[in-house]
Amino acid sequence: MGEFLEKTVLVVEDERPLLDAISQKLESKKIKVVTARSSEEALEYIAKNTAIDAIWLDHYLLGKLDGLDFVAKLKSKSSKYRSVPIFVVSNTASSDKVNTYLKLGIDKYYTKAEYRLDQIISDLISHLKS
Amino acid sequence: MTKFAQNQSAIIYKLTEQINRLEAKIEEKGKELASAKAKGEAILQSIGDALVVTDQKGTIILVNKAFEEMMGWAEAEAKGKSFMDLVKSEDEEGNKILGAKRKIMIILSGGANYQRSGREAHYYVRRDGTRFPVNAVVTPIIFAGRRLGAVQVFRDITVERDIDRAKTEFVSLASHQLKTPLSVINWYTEMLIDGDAGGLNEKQRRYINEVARGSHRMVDLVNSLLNVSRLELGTFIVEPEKVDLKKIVRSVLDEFKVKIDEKKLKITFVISKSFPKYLLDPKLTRIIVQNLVSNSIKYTSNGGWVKIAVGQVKDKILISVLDDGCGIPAGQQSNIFNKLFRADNARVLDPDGTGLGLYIVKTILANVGGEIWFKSREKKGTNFFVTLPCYGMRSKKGRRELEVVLPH
Repeated sequence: MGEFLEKTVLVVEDERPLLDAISQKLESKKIKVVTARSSEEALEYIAKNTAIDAIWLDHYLLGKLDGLDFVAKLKSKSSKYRSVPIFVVSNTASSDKVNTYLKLGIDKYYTKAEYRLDQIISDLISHLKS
Repeated sequence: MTKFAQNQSAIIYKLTEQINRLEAKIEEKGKELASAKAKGEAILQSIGDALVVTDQKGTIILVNKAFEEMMGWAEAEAKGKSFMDLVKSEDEEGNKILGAKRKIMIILSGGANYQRSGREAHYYVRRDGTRFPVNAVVTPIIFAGRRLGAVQVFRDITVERDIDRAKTEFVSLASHQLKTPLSVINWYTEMLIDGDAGGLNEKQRRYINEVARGSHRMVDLVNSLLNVSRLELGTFIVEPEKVDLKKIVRSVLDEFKVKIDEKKLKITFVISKSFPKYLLDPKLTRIIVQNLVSNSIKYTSNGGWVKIAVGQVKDKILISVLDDGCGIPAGQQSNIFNKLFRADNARVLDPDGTGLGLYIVKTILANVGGEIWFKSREKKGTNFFVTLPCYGMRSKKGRRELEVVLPH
């Protein structure tokens, strides 16, 4: 992977070791990573910056808001991030929550404990390239 | 006095004496009887569980205090009424349990000598319309070889159910919590194996592969425990749609392709070309097929065979999975559907199994109107049979789908 993708992914995940693993793996694929551990933090970040090409999102997060609240805000009519692809990677979402995510227009849903990190990242990269 | 008269009065005297003695005895016996009856009644009245006695038509003859308190009818109001009309029975969803299916009817019609509440919850409706989960035992009153009626003892099991629920909810919550650290272990071992932290020597690679394997096994266990808790809490979803069993079996076989090739197993799958689609929940059906096929593959030695057949027998879909594998030891066959049970030979052949697969399959089937049974001989092989009703699975609203435990 010599080419530089010039892409930025916002990773929203509350578990520090998982956040580290995702960041390292993405960076090793030459992707710029910005991180947040709560929806509030993530919203604050995107309010200031526009250059985000994809979002990696966990469901349960630090703070009051969960992943669904974040997606709802992002996909609202007035949002300029409506078209940014979102990958939800979580262990704890029930099937009705997964359905709500899909209805809100997320691109992919993964169960964390059952997928290789590699697999999710290569899916994300091919999504970014397409 | 003549001699005759003398004799006569002696006889009369003796007779009177006898009669008096008899009367005293009768009185004594009568007192004993009355006291025995009072004792019996006191015992019946004082039983903590509700008690109801009916004649052979199901008409109430007697109820005790606990019945009166639990149900809201006084004995005088209950007596003479049909038990089944008075005390309505319902399932979890509030559907009425009708006559022929009531345990008391099974007893009165001579169908059995003992009936007790099973695993599925059922409820009795009180006089005021409220209901409670019940555990009941019904036995016939048999006298001189004839069924004269039935005795039913029952109790309110709300507290037991709440405790059981709390236990299952705890398992569910704990399992969820386990998934996060497991993800950490999985992803970091993956990175180590992939060389993200530098190359590994042979021994390091071997060790870290063991860690990864253990962790994946734990994920399986956690998913299976979650399934068990969803099945036991009744929170799982049944969403029937038109399902092509041919496709399901084929895709399950694809899933196991690596293992099948590795063990050089001969697999045959028989299903008629025109086998119709049935209204089944695809995910649950898949879990059933996957478990049976996975077991056959696991417990059949290299070069063996597995035969899968799907067909229709009367109003049922029949799935048969036959193998020439290690079989189930005769002495352990009755435990095979028990939670966490593993047969001795299975434990040797596959140390990673959870002992939850068949329990999960059986519980799913019990909830969707299906059945499972098997024939097996140790060292010869096993044949599992599953039936599903042709009218399909009844849809059931719930909060959770079951997890599919992936083979690896």
